[in-house]
Amino acid sequence: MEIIYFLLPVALCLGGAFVTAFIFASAYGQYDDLETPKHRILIDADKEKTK
Amino acid sequence: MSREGKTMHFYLEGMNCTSCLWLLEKLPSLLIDCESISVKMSDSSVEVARVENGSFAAIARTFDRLGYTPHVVKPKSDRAQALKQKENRRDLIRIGIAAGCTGNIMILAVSLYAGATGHLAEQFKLLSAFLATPVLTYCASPFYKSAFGSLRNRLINIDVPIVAALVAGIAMSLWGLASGTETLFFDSLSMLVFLLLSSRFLLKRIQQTQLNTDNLTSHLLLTQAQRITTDGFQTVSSMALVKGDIIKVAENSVVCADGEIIEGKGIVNTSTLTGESVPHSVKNGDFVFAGTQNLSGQWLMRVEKPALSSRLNDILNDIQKSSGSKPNIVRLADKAGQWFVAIVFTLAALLIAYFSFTNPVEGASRALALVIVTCPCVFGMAIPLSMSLAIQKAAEQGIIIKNAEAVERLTEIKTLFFDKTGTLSSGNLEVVNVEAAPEDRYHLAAAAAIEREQTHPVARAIVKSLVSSGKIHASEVRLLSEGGIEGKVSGRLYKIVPSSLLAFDRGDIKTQYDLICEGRVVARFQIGDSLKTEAKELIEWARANGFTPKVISGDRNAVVSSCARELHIGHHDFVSEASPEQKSETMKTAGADAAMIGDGANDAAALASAAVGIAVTGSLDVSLKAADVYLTRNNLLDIKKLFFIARRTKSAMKRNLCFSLCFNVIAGTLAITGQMTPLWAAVFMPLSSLTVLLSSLQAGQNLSRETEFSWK
Repeated sequence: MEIIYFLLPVALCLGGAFVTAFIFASAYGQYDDLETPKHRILIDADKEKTK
Repeated sequence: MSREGKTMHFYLEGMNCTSCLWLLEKLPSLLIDCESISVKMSDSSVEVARVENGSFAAIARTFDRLGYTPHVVKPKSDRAQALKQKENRRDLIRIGIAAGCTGNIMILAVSLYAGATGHLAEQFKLLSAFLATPVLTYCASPFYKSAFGSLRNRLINIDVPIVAALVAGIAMSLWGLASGTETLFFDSLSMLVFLLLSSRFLLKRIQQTQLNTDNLTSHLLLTQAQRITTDGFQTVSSMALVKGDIIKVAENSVVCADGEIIEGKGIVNTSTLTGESVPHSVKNGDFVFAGTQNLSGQWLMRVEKPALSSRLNDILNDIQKSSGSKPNIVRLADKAGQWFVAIVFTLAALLIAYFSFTNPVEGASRALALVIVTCPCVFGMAIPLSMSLAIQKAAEQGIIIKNAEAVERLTEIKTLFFDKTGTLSSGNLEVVNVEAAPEDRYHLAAAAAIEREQTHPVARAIVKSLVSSGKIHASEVRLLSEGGIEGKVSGRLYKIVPSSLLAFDRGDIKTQYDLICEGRVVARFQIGDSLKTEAKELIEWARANGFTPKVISGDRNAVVSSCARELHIGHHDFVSEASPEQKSETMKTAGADAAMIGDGANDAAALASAAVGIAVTGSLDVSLKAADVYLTRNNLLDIKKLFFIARRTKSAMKRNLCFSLCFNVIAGTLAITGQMTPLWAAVFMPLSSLTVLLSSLQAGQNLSRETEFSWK
């Protein structure tokens, strides 16, 4: 059971890292518009370069 | 042109799929005026930037040609926009932290429930207390703020019991932690906070994107204007006009600013402002208002107030302000929840009092269980969500429902009062019938030639009904003092005069004009106001669905009765020659099951007195202020959709209320009798909120599936 004293902080740090990542993503506007990108992904990239 | 900014925001009607996005993002390569475009599908808006000297009018026209009706959205002040965005992001961060911490607490809690003991259990408890700290402080702070705010105003809102449960739960948990007992609620409390935050965020998102009447208001004022400059005309956006500009108003265009006519004349339809369906003529020195329509003629006018400070804009602002001050969805839910909260707190106080001498700990524990388990989630979340979804679905169908109470009242409606002019009928003068013998039909071209230059509404109606080659010209045209007009065409003298023979065999005919060629009547123009094509279908639908359709009109008895006959409405069910006051009085006495469907200034009082007022497009100002529902698409059949949505929403709400009542009674009884510990209460309460929330969402999804299925 001693391993739990190592695993627990690791798990918490991982969790903390994801929460931190989420906070930064939100703060920089990643989730401001949840509608457009899911549609945009379906559009094929242009073959020729348009200006 | 420098007075216009470089970018402009549009709300585009009908933008909803991937190909729309694809097409719109191509715009800069299609149109030279457009430099860049940024599409935001979540609120159907785009921001376009124009090239140097590009024209927004051209861009807007292109949107229109592509099939998206563009409405200029008043650019919100950057500050307001930034604040809203900041708030949204902060809410998301709160949810994220709550989710992360709660998830980890649950993992720890599982081992505690499974029976972990000793040193490890102690550390797990401390750890869950540590993880719960940010959730119960930072994440839950909106609840504390709202609850204390309402307590300060001596009110009880839905957050008060939540905060009471949180504070009591935290206190008991801390005490449990200190004394080493089993009573820890960090897991349940965190879960509670996370679920409440998420559902409220969802609610707010829906409200923010859907309940924005800006979109509706500005499209009326956007048009292109012909501004006079030193070297001729210049086409600019109506939004770019400033006081003192001279603009030309062409025939059949909407006046885009308030101002004074300095040259020319015309005939104006002021129905959007006054509801008056009969156009009147304007000339030099007259003041015309934005939003009115120039039916014929053209004039130059000096802009006194540009679109965004015009009378129309003031009116629209007023409407927005007053509908904002009406109880909104959340406040409505608060009101309903207050009774619930009061009852629960009274019961809890009784419990504590009952046990205070025998077993105070047991009393406190039961009271806490009761307060936690009976959270009025159905009032706080499910009903507002159902309402928001109903309002959203309606908005997608072009129906603006101004307040949530109207959704509820709509389901009580049994009687539909229709106004006639402008609602069942189109409200414009039209030639409904031309009587002419086949051999006399060639005379009609003469009538068109004589009336071509005239601005009288009857003349416009006649010209509109005739296909004129434009080759025949009339000379010596003059107005007759006794009414009517005469002129010479191909050497013959023609007169168009009001008919002396008033044979009203059709009630929608208001007046009749004769075309007289050298003393002989060769044709008759019957002029009136014909029924809209969808009116009959709607009335039939109403009857088939248990409504009683009635007509209430200020028009002459003959006109109204023939209209009623055509719609198979019995003579008990229509009222004619009703003054606005009478209409309003009728609606007041008609009770809570009568809706008024009307438009125009003369219906405003009636719309306001009716249980539900439904305004049909055409008269914006007063009707919109008075009415609860506004049909933007000017289609009477939207009323069918409106009732469908309202009924479905009501039944979903009933289902939720029923579930919530059963749940609260059972769980409350268990808590009072001591069968349910605070721990189980905290587990069950989020489960019950989740159930009603999912049920509301499901109902909303069914609604959109069904509306699409039945109306497309």
